[in-house]
Amino acid sequence: MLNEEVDLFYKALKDTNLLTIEHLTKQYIEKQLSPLVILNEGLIAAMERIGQEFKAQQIWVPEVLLAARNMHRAIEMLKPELIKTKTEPRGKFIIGTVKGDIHDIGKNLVVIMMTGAGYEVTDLGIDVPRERFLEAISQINPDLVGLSALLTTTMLEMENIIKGIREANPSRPKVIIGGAPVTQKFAEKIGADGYAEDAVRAVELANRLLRERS
Amino acid sequence: MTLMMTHKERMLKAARGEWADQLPWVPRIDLWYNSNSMRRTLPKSFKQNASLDEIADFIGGGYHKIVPEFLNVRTPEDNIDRGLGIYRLWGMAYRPELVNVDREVKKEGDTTHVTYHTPIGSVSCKYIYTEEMKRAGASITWITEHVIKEPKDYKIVGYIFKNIKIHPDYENYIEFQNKVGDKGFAAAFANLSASPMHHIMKEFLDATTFYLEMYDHPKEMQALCEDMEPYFDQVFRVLADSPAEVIFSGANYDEMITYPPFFRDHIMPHLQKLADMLHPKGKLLLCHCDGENKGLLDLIPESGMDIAEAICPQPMTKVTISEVKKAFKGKVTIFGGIPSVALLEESMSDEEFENFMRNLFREIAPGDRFILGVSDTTPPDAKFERLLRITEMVNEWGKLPMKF
Repeated sequence: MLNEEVDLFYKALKDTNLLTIEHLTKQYIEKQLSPLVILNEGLIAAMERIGQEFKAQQIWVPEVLLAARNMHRAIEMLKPELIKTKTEPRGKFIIGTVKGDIHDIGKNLVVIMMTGAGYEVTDLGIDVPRERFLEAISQINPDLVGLSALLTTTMLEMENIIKGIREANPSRPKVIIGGAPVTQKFAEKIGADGYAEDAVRAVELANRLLRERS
Repeated sequence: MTLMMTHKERMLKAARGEWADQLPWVPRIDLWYNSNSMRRTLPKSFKQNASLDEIADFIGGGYHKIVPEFLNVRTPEDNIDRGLGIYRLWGMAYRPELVNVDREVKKEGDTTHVTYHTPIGSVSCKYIYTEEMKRAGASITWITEHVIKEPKDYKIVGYIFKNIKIHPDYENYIEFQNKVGDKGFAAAFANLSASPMHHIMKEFLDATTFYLEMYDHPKEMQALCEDMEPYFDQVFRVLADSPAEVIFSGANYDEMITYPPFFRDHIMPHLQKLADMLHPKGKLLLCHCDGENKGLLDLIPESGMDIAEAICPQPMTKVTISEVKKAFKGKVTIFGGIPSVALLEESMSDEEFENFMRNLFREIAPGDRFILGVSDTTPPDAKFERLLRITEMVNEWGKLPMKF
């Protein structure tokens, strides 16, 4: 896809009118372009640019959420085409805010960025107990699991969940953690595979872990 | 013989940018206390029914009396309007009255369901307080269903706020102030939000929906802000005339949630307005700044805020205390400095804790405009001995100005 075309997706993702992305996506589907090209070279490339702007603090949370909503709509429109071509996601990712914690904005941003990067994301929500994580892992068989916590009281629950995951299967999935009280050192201590301080870095970490595994 | 200053004198001196005799040390221990008291795991040296203030006395610092006790209610009326973000708690210097509103309350297990009927329609909300939250020491209920669910609700909530009457309740506040005595300053509570738009963000919508509503229903939001202005004006006026030395208005600032343009456009003007009302009367403005403040550091000193409470440095945020001090330019007193993870053995070994604290004292020195505290609070699983160790450090190194 040409740079000018990626620009069109970038502008459409930032547009407050949902119709803009709908028209653009429809236009590209009608051009008989591969849905994978539309997704990877159009939408994901545009979202990556938005992620970088967010990381550089050139834009803020509302713009990212708006882009995510637009992207979600475009993916919905592409889905039937993607199913026809049997396109596999970059990886499967499960995330939740751990039990005892109801904070979700950080987790939601990770969901947005991971979806925007081509992952199939299952959001377990907030206040998620260990058993729910384990159940979802056995059903979905994800490549990665993300644990989020904002409180010092709940960060300790992360270790409990990781222990449960490792007991069930020592090698898969990879577990990444994040949230204000969490540090790289804490991540290492509790046996997580990685720590990301924000949503953009979570995607970078996820990509790296999957590359290392393959 | 020179008399030592009281904790309150030290805190007020630091808050006014004057020199106290010693670095004020004021750990917040309410969540730690609530949780350990509930779990019956208070340190063995205390009776299991020991009070929070007895333990604070034992630690040897001042009393942290900033955040109201949202769950310690005298009657259900005290916190029944939690879904609207308004309270009638013990110690508050004002009392809000809902006018022309019928309140219908239903309790179902851990859930409280409140519906507000007004002449122009009804809105409702739900909040919970579970056994598990009690064990974790949670100091406030969680809203599970917000009061604004559809566009028409903005107007109804606006009606409720436009009609609220604020009554001074200075006797209630003085009781609180007298109980705290010379152990600390008793901050008079305004709101957890600093402004109408901040209030909508914190109380009426979940965060993700709030940001999208800024695009989807900007006119309704703006109209609601205008309807809420008289409420904030009344609260500010009553607090400015109150016997309190320090007023607490606004909490949970964070560069992601209250991102810089939002802070500048929707929070700062109200902080400045309140500060302009307080300063001529010799009163100070305190805010609970417990988030990631890196992107807000340049704005805070221009906001009129005198005390930035719960300032938390690395490793829990991206900033160091030196960076915060530099950005505040001697205009704002830092209250905090010890990240709560420093008290957890899971996060720091004893040796790491010692090194961390030594470095922190180096950064704090010479110690002007600083009240040492835990940001934002002592966690339930904190190693209690570390609080005592900090008291020793303050006694050993904290003589002001510090030559560390």
